[in-house]
Amino acid sequence: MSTIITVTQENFDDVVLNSELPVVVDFWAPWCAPCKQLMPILDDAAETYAGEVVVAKVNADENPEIVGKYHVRGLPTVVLFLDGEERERFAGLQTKSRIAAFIDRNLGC
Amino acid sequence: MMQSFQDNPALKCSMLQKAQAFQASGDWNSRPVYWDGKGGSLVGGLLGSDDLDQWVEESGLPKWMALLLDMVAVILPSAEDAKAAQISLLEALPVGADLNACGNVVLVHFLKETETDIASLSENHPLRAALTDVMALHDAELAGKSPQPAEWRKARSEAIAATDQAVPDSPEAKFGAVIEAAAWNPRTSRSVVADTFRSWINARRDAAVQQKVGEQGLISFEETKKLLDRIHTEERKTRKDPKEFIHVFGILEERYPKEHKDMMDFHRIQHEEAIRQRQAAFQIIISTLQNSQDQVRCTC
Repeated sequence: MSTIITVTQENFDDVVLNSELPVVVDFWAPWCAPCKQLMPILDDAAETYAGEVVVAKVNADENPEIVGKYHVRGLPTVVLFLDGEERERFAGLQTKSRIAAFIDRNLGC
Repeated sequence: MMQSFQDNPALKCSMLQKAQAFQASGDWNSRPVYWDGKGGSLVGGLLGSDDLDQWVEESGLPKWMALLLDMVAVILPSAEDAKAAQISLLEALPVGADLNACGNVVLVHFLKETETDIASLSENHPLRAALTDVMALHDAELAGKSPQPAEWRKARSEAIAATDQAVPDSPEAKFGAVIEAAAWNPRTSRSVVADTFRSWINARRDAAVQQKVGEQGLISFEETKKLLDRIHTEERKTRKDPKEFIHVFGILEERYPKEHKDMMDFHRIQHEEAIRQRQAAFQIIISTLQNSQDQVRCTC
């Protein structure tokens, strides 16, 4: 089962901004081929970092307010939040190694 | 020990038949490891869920194989090609083999190909050392030595550092991405084989395109982009309506026919190379699977 949490406008604050753990948010859309390729890699990363990081996804088509608020200009865009603040982001498809390095940098590893 | 298809040729036949029926049903889609209760990916359709623990339990196949089967569908350009490739992959799977280790073997094959591709780099180039280290970890795993997670982490860090020394988006950097992608153990990281498969296709495609562009004296993609930007900027100054659409490709064709032809040739070469390298990558996987021990072909 996927360990990625689906986030919407309704639960974004609870799941992302108020989380005690760092949260990696994947902005995606069903029509976006690189998004489809990235999601299983992120899901795998979520399992690797279980208990250390929360991984969430936002459907950009269905949640334009969040997309606008965080100035997401291309898909996929992945944003890491810590203590309710954006710490770092990347855009486009990445290898799992790059995603792990992205998380490690923000965990202080 | 995991045994593919529970060591039962009838299970393989039944999965193949179910896969073909599901693909033909109209409920198939290309979103990997996905099931919404009615439709989804091939793996989703075979399971009736997206639970990969269930996949391992029912099929005796590793999780990395589920991801590879479904990722093929996103990488290939047409649904028909993707469906055919998924069936070929399923057909190539041996019955009664422990395919866990096969993931390491596939990755070693991609790394050996990459070793040849970066052979022109200097002896002490960091990418060579990174590749050797990652390959050694897979060899150790195959020898039953089970390297520690810290060893994999170190290899990944070194591969990323070596890649970052290359010019961004250069063939060297793309081959670095292959080494990075392969630096996980497929027994514990289900995306590693699909991630390496995709990275290798991209690296090989871009290296071949760069070589052919050089051989044919074509204008590079970067130069074409700069020219298109310049056309757009110059045209914008001449238009009264700032929102008026500027057909930069039409202007390129009209005023810069040589550059336009080069751009079209570039895209043709890129398309041809993408097909060629996808076939090559697929062949590496199929031949590795076919060479797996205890192979039993499905005769249904």
